[in-house]
Amino acid sequence: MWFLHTPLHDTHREAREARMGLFTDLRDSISRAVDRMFSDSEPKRIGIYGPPNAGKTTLANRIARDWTGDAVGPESHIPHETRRARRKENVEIERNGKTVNIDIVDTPGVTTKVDYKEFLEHDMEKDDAVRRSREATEGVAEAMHWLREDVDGVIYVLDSTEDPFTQVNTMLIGIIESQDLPVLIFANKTDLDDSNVQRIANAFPQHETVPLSALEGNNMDEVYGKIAEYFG
Amino acid sequence: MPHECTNCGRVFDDGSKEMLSGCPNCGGNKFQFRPSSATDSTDSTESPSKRSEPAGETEPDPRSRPSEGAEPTSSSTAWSDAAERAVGDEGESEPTPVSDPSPDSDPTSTRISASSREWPNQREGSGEATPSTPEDPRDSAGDDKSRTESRESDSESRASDSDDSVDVDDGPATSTDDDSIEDTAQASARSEVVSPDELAAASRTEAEEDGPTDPDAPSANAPDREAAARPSDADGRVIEPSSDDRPDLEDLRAELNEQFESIRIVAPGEYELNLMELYDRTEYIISLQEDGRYVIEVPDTWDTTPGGAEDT
Repeated sequence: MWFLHTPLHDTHREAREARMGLFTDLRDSISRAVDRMFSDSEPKRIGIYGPPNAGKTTLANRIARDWTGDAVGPESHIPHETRRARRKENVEIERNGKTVNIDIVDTPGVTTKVDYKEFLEHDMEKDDAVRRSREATEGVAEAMHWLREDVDGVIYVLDSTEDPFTQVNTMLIGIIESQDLPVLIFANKTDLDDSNVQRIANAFPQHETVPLSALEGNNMDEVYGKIAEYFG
Repeated sequence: MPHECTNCGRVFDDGSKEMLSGCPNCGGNKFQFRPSSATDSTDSTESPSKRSEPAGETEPDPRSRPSEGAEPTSSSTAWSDAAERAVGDEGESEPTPVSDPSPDSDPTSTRISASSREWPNQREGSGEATPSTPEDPRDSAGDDKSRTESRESDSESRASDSDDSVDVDDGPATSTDDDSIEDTAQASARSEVVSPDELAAASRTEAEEDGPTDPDAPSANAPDREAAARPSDADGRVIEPSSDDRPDLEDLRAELNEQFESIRIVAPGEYELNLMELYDRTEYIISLQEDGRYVIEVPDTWDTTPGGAEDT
């Protein structure tokens, strides 16, 4: 799908595919071509999107730690902890003998309203809360910009204890679909009692929903398998 | 014979418009005012200048003085002052003409003299021709004669005119006493603003002013038109906007918000985001300022970033 963005690679691929087709069967050729595509080309940049406090950074850190040993950024239960998009490059994920090389972009939580008073509940001084609010707003702007310009695929993270039918989710998924970006929906926080994965799956039936707990590391095998499948 | 050209001596009736564009005989633009009643020449000449002095103690002047002070400041405040003044004048002048002709003329003239004192200041700014208005020639005439005279005559007139209970203007009362009809005409002539527009359409102006020669109505209207016309001359229809400045700005802002704004700053620390607008923009908002400004990264810059290069 994102060959569209890389016409040069596209022609290379076609040429190689044509050559390969002479010696191997069709299925083999395609699978190799895909393998080569992802090992040769630039790492796909996968944006981790979602509303604030869905666990995006926790997921990004989990992935990064699992495959690179480093973290992406600090996690916090206070919303809008991530106010600048952070990128972890060259995360190599091996699945079923395939290697997928991706850049993970952890983005600030997207919302339509930012109010510093929300942060006051977390024992924050007003000045700090106002600044956090402003930075969070800038972060949303940045995240939206990344979505437009710099993302090849999207992992959309949702807190499975929350109602997925929100304006932000609908709008963002709509934008992602309009971009023809591959998207995986992660129903996070399955370790919590009131987690409801099915509600998310019902909300976005057109996309694959993967349950997980990024914090606990639950179901990460399936997560990596899906990442490799979708973005690899 | 109220008005006399100081150059050739030609005399004009009180309220005459002939002299508005200069003396038809000699083209002179200085006239002295000689109320027909006034036997004493000094009395006549002083009345204008004298009028302006007591005006400082009367009601209209306090109003005009602040406005004078406001003049040098921002134009909007000046004009809003002017607008307020116009309203104030209206309220004041309305009742008087109804009640009695002579009081009518007095406040009017007072207003005029008061405004004629401040107008020269304005004119410096607006660059209007001083001689174009009727009252200015008279003012200058009065100045020419002497201010001291005027004070003497002032006291004289006060002594002589016991019937004039109106403190506002003793001097003019003497003159206007005699002929109240001519008074209003005079008032209208003096109070009528000769704006550049009106000068341009001289014929129209004359037609207008001939109408107002009728009692009361012009004298009541004239001050308003002065105040209103003057600012609009100089600054161009700012009076209305300046008075309700805030609402207009808010309306405008709301409109702009709807059209363009991707981030609305509701209050410091409170933001509403238009995600579609943010997404649709090619430029990238880097930082928000508390005054509502954005710092943005323009698309051209993005093309040079690694991200932009990678895409190709």
